Amino acid sequence: MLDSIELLIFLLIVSLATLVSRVLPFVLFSSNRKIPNYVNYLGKVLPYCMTGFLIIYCLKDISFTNYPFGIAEIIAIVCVALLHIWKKKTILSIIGGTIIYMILVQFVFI
Amino acid sequence: MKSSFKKAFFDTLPVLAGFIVLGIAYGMLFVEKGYQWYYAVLSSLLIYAGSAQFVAVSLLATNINLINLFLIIFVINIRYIFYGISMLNHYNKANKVKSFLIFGLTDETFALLVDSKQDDKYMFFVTLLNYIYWALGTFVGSIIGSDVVFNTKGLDFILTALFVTIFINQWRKSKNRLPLLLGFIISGVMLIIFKNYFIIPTLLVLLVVVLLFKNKLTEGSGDN
Repeated sequence: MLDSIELLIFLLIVSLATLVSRVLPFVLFSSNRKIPNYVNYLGKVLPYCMTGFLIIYCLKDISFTNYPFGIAEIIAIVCVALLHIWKKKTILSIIGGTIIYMILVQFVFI
Repeated sequence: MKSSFKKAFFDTLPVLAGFIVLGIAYGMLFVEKGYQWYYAVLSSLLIYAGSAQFVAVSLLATNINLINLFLIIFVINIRYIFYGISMLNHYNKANKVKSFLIFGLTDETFALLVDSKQDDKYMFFVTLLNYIYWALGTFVGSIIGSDVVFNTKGLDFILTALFVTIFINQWRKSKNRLPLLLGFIISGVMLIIFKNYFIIPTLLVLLVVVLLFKNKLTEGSGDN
């Protein structure tokens, strides 16, 4: 376990890494310069690419070659998707899917 | 002033519910690692980046070196660069509150502001309210976390579920679904090939593919 100074340094590093990612575009393309076309284009397309990436990112620690082969995750993701397509309520889909996932990992695929 | 605040409050109500749930989950996970509640709240105030904070908590016990920590968090947050690029024109006009808007640019704030009318006060209140919700959720979670009465295993699936709902929302809204599909498929293939080291290859391949297939990716989107 980290002591309080180590923990503060740890948190500050995470904070700094986050801040850099947020400030960078505004430093590179400041208000008095025209934004290049390809940057505008990337700004429109890349956020959509990132959502699929984030879903996959959440699955990165699953072993698909050993029991239970990520079955709980796949079932829960399908449930979230179906709930959201059906009811269109973000919070309901998130809570419903998470409860299903918790039941699966706590009682079914232990 | 009042009407900007009112509108911001109503528009951020879904985020209030979402951030309280996510913030509670985060606060619980944080104190589960054995740290005091005020460190959880401090982390939310300092960092204010959901997915990065969840990953950071999972790294707390791993003895990771600080350079790797910086790189991992930066890579997770690389999408903020793309949000920033999308908000350049709007935020550059907001003189007084620009710094705070940049600091508070999260997925949800981005989603609320990217298509809205760009009124400084409204953008400020949306950003501020979301920031408060996140800190509040963290506070509640970290307080109840230490004597929680149920098994929290699997609670972190909330994050996965959130991304699935965002994916479906974007799927509904976009006329051209190719960027969404590309992100999902390329990431999936790269995960199978590179396992835990898939982040950098994924982002590089995505960038190249996106730049090469500009015509296909902007088809039907209504602008250049």
